[in-house]
Amino acid sequence: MTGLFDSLANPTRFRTVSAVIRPFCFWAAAIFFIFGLYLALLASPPDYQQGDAVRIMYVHVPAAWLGLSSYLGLGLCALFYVVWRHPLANIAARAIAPIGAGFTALTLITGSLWGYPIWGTWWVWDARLTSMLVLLFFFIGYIALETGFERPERGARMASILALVGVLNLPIVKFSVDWWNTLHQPASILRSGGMAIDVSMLWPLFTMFAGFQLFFIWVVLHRMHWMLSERRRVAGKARAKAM
Amino acid sequence: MPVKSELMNTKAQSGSTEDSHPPHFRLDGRGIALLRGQKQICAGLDFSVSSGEILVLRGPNGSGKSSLLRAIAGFLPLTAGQISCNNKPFDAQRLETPADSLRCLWYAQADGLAETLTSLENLSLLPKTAPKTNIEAQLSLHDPFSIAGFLHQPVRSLSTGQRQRVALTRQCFASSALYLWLLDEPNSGLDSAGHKAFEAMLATHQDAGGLSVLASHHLLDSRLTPRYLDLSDEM
Amino acid sequence: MMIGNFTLCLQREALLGRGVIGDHLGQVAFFVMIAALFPLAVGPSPDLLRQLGPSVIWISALLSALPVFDRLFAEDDRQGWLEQVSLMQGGLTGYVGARLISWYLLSVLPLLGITPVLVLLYDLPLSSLKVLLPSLAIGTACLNLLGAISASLTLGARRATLLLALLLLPLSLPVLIFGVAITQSYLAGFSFAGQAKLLGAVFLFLLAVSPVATIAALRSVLEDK
Repeated sequence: MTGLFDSLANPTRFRTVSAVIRPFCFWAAAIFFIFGLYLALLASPPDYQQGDAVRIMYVHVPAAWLGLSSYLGLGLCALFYVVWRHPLANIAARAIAPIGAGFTALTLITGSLWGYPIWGTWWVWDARLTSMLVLLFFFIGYIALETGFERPERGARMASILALVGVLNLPIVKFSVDWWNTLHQPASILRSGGMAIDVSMLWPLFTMFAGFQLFFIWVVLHRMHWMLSERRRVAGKARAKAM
Repeated sequence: MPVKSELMNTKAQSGSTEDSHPPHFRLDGRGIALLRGQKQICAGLDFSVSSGEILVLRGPNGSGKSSLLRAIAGFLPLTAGQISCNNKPFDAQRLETPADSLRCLWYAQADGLAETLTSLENLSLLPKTAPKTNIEAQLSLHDPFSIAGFLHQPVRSLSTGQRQRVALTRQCFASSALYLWLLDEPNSGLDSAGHKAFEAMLATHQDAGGLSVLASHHLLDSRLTPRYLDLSDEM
Repeated sequence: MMIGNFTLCLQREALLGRGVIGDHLGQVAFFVMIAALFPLAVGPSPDLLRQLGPSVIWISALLSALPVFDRLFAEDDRQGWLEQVSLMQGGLTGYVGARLISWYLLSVLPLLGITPVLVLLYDLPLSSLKVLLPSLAIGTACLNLLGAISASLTLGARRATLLLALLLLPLSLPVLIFGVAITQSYLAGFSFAGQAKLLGAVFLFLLAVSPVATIAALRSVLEDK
């Protein structure tokens, strides 16, 4: 296993491998999106309670999942960087962070758009949305710390420790928000996870899910590729100056 | 002639039969490479220092003298290579130090003195030193850097030179065969009296069997038989 | 139990404590000022204030702790004490332990001392102190543990104080939620045992995680100098 990571640690090998994976991800994502959107917008039934507004769920739920899983992915990269100083781990983490934050923000926006036609308010403090808001703060904190030092390596190391602390604390924070929510608002509101999802809704959901996931991988690999190129360009300039 | 001082010699610290069998250490560095940020400071560096020896690191500013000292002290991780003591891996930062293993003492411009405390209070904050009154007594007998005059002033009110002398006096209390002194520019800014006192202190530590590695722009008295390592050649 | 340099560091904290008591008294003043802002903003209606009371006290405790946390390790880092202590028997562990204990004592005792005044300001029954004071004591301990992580991570950063607050606040939500719930349950006449256990669990969790993260961050600081 470590052998695999060691071989991927080599930036050049990473670039060749990712150069193969990236187009595949892009086209697969595109296919899944087109198909998924068709299923979501046209082929799936409206909810008997919420009507067509429920279609936002097909964006909201995958985005929520991606926001959360990307933070966990961030934590994994942080672990690799803190323990093994794996050079690509930091690049991966820096690539993931803003994308994860973006998906989390998307979750909040779609949650808000979903809630308005049903509840008449742009924001409800239900457990899921509040947890996602806190997750967004975790992401913002990570990005702020990573970029907050004069020396980028210092930022990388500190942000990695923060990510590990964050991953450990996240279940506790999620639990406390859920607990708080049951204390103050017994009527659950956007019970998208809890509501009985009909099989006809599952297919569009999974398709959109796959589309989002592949898109995420594509974007992250693309960003990593760009960061590695930037680093080579800057290093080349420094060498040229020294000569 | 460098003055020896038995009073400062903390032989009692080791507790064991140091007088008959002083521990002998040999610190070796092989193939050391160091990275500061993105810059490679050194590569393939070798060094060695044994009990009773003084190793002086020389080189222009930025050649990696401080970095090497910090690497030996365990602050800066090695990118490549190994540092070993008596052929066992050496880790200055390990939490538990068995009674007869090598300890490090660090000196740099950020000397670790608490600015709001007096010189005396700072000196009393050394591991295993005697309580305050004994330090005063010891200093009244032997005060190599003449700090008695400002012993009770807060450190922040001292001039740079005075502060440096207080920090160097602290070194005297850890002069034994168990200590590796890592000194980063200890004698820059000292006057000639201070210089002599510093070399005397170094001699005492050497005679007690201690090890010293220091980074300096100054040449040391040849009676100390220091060995020199030029870092500018290593790149 | 790391004996090593722990006693030495405690000794040092005792010597240094005289100088920093001003910071912590300022923290207490800030605590009272924040708590005084709420009635000025929401109006002096006693019913509303009684409802807000526990929450305001906890939020004030949290916010007032923020501006001074960056002083936790900054001086010792600047003066070179981190290098010295990391080379001693016991290393950074003894140092962090002593630092947190002294910081806790200096911050929690004045805070607990002034809390009865706030209880009166918000017209809460004085009997609530028997729940409020212990929960604040544990809550402050939790916040200090989180503050140690945040302070060590942001040492030497640009805008360190702001960054520290940004990191600390999301992490402190469980402490806030459970801590307030204890007093609120008590005032409503319900059992607060469950909430107290939850707060205790958070404390134990942080007690395990915080020193490890703090020491890792401090070692990282040493790497860069």
